Amino acid sequence: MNGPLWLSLEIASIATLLTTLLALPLASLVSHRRLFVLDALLTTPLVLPPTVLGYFLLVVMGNHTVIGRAWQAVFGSSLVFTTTGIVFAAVITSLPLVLQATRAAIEGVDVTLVNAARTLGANRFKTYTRITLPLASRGMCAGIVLGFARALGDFGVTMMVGGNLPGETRTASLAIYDAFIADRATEALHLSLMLAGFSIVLVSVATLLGRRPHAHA
Amino acid sequence: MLKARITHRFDARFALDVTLEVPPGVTALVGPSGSGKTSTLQIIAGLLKADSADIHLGSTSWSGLPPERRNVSLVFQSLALFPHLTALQNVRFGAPSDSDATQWLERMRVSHVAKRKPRSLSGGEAQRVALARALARAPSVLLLDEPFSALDSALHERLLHELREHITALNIPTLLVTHDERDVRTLSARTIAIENGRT
Repeated sequence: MNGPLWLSLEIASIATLLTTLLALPLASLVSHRRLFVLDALLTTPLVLPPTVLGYFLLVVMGNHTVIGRAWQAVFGSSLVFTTTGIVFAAVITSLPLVLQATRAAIEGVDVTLVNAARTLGANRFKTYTRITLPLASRGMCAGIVLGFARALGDFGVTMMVGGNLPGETRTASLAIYDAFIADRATEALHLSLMLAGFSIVLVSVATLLGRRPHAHA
Repeated sequence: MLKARITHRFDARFALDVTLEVPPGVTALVGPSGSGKTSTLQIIAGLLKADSADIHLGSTSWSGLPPERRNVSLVFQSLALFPHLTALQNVRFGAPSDSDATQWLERMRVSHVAKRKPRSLSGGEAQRVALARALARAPSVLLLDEPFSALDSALHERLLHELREHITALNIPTLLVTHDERDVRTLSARTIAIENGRT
């Protein structure tokens, strides 16, 4: 498979896995009214211009910050301009989509069903794992798929945080830009069609999952 | 005997001030809409935290206990069957064992729908599965929140008679919220009236 496209898929897959693991506990946490600031902070990447978000991430993960230095000390390499760096960037950009979908799906579960489970002897954990999560799973999966699509197609943040290093941080979106600038029209077209195809499939899956099961027109 | 002394202020206009004694057998809690019947059941079940709730089953205090430790079954008006589970899995959810769940489906005459999901059940079948689920838990107290209100008249009558047999056999305190005089008659229920949050 095409190198940049494969790299994009790899980054989006890892980022989506991390995002999903983060979204589950965070969705419960930010639903508390008092934590609205955290909720707003985690959702802000959705509306920030990619260059602004990329700039902030570049600063936060750079070698002059505690995070950047700690990473350098532990792993012996910089976080910015690396594949790992753009995985983290992809997590930040896709988290709002997954988080909001997860939260809406969990809050959408009929509270009577949760109450029924409690009166049938289930504690909070059993109720959450056996009733709430399975019933919220379709909405959560729709968010996860959209998060994956967002991570797959990112350009601005990846460019800022990863640079555009062939084989390291040159994802499909960056490779399309490169090919276009260098007048390699066929390569740009092929990559664009492949990325568009992936996106259409992913959004279709998300739309399907977002619909209520057995809903009729 | 279930004894409850409950006070709870919802807002400036409505407060609950309820004293109940529910012996084994059926006690009907009757009153107009918005009089606090469902809230009373929810507080007894532990689903709603009251300003003050002194609830005893025999000598055991339920005050402060979470719902799952009260050994109470509540049949909701909407039935609240878990849509992603089959009828058998619904009943098994609170039952001590698989065989208890299977037996209760048989007793409620719905063993033929064991493998079906709630959305494919008729109103009567769903009602029976909900009752089987509540009874399979072997509850110490049964709470019924207008469970037959959506049924047609004939089925309503038939289920009432069947339920009466099961409750008589179990001999547990059962509190039934109802608007229907038929329920009170058929279940030979004691009656507690509630109005504007007061019994």
